[in-house]
Amino acid sequence: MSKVGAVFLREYLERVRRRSFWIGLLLVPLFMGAVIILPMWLAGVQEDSASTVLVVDETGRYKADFEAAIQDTLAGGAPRYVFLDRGLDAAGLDASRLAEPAYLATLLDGELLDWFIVIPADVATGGEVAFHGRVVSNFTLLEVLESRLTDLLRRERLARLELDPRLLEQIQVHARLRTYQHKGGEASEAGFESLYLSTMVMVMILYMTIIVFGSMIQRSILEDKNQHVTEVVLSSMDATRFFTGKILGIGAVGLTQYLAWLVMALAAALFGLLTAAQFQQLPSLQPATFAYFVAFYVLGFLLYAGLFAAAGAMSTTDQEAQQLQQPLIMLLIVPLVIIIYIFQNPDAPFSTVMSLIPFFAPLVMFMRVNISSPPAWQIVLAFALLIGTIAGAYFVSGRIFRVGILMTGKKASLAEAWRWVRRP
Amino acid sequence: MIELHGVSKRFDGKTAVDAIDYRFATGRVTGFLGPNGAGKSTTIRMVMNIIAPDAGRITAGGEPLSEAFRNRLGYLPEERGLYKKMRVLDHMVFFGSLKGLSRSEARRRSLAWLERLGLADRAQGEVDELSKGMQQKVQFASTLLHEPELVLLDEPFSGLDPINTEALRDIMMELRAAGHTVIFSTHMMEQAERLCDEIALIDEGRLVLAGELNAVRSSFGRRHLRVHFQGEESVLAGDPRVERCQFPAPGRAELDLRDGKDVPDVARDWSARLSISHFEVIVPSLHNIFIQTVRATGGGKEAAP
Repeated sequence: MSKVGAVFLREYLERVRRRSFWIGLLLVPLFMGAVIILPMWLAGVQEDSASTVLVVDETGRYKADFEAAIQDTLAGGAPRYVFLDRGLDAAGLDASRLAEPAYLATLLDGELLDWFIVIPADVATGGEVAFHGRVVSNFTLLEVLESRLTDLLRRERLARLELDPRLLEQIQVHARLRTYQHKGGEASEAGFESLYLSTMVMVMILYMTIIVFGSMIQRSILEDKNQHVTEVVLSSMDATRFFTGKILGIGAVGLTQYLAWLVMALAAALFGLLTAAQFQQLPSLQPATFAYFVAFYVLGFLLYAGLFAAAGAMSTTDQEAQQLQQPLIMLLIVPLVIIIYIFQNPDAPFSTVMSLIPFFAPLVMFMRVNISSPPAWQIVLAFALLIGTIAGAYFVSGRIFRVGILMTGKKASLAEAWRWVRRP
Repeated sequence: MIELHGVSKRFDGKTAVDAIDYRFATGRVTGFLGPNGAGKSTTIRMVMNIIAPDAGRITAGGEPLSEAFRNRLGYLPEERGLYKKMRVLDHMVFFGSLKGLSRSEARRRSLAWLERLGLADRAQGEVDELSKGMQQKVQFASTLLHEPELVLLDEPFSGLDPINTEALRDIMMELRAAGHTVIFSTHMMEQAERLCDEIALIDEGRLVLAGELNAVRSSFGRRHLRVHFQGEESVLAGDPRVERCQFPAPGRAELDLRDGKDVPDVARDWSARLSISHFEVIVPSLHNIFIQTVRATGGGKEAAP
């Protein structure tokens, strides 16, 4: 067996054998499921108890209509809103003061009232409607109130123009654009949402993988260094092959994990946990896009893995390792910052340049390929630069590694690391 | 087998190894001796290609060391280390396959070694469940798994208890008997004295003394005599071949001969004129040679005993 193979196998087996690997394998899908399903479920659950409210109408014209418009029934069949001034034989309430804001405020404080709304006399000519409540963050409620009030005011204006208020329903119309993306002579129906979603999902997978497994590689190398194992290894093979084996081993652990999750997702789908409707929501994936994704995924991973490996070799403690991680994370964040710009201007000079820079290419060029049709030479150039940079990064990391690995005293400065690169 | 040609290495402007020329003898046990910080580990690391020399060449039979050649070397670094969470057997198989053994062969040999070391029942346990001494043994066995022709051991005895020291020495003697070349560094002179065929003494990065242990010893010891006698002290003190003479007690003398003077000659002459009951050529311990040489070269401020 080749030595790279031996290092690869050790790295892979030792990780897959650990309990933490299996826990992660099971916990992450559970967590993801919870993150997706819980908010959907919670959004469907409304607070289901009656509220005591009051409509103060200074115009005297809308009160009844407005109250009727917002009224709703609870699950039990009871009305959602109890209007404070209706059917009130109220305990200690002064019915004559129900138009006084100050008095109403004391009712709010005393929790006799949940909220009240004041429609001013000049509402039809632009006067502002006030909502007072202990809670003003329930945006669904506020939206309902606004839209009902808007309807009332529109009807009022139609009436003033001596038009039939039913016109309101008849003139409701919303123009929509259907978008067709033309790519390589083929047109497909694709909208911003589906493109954005599919691109973002892949970008996030790439990003998360690099962060999680990059720092795993870094930690693993630091661990080797601190356990003094590397000296024996380096006496048998050169540093570049050693950490190539290591990086591939850890990469294979990631691949195993993703495959396992894919199988789980398919199994879940087969058992009907995902409905057919949810399946249709999943962005449709073109084979070419997927191929680009795999290519950029693998190259992006290899590039950053090499850089993280060098960072690991340069540090001697976890804290130092984290400090050295910062610049790498910065490089990773840049594409995320400009993502909206790329979406709107996928072929602008800035986007083109960013998509050719090897550190950003895996994310940015992938986005461009997905949402536009960059010229073939740019894609080829991006790949070539990326592969060249990977080779360079592995050479440099190998040098840093070989010297850095024997240093356990202090963190290496960048100047020192550069000296190692020039002369190991 | 391995030749060093003017090999030098500097760290941060400090010279660790200074133009060493040396040829390790094949099929012998060579002790690489010197005070702490003399450059022993640096030299060994350069031979093992872990660091590159700044100047000079390291060759085997005149050729640069190839990886295939290095596969026939066994190396025990001064900083011992094993993956703590790995199973003992898996770990040995890993080290074996790094030297080009197939996994099945590495496994077979590892099991045989564990059996020999009395650790067979620990094969499936994790490394950090072993005592320190056991870990040392496992690491030592891993070094020898691929039956290297040449074994480089950097401070192999450090941290070993007497029983394990004995076990390690047995294995080294066995290696020599089987015709393997063994090179080990140490600052413990008693070990070197008992094991070495050859010694190379380095101090402050320079090779100050090298050769066959017996030859080195006799070159230091040929001149130092202890004599118990009856008769005239002046026979000894007045002999022109005697460089220095002391009489610690009546009838007892300690003498140094001048260079090039033959011990049998003086012994014959003196026994004709004195009644000699005891005549001894004092062989200096390696320890004394070490101290003497290091002092003579002006180094070894940290010289170990």
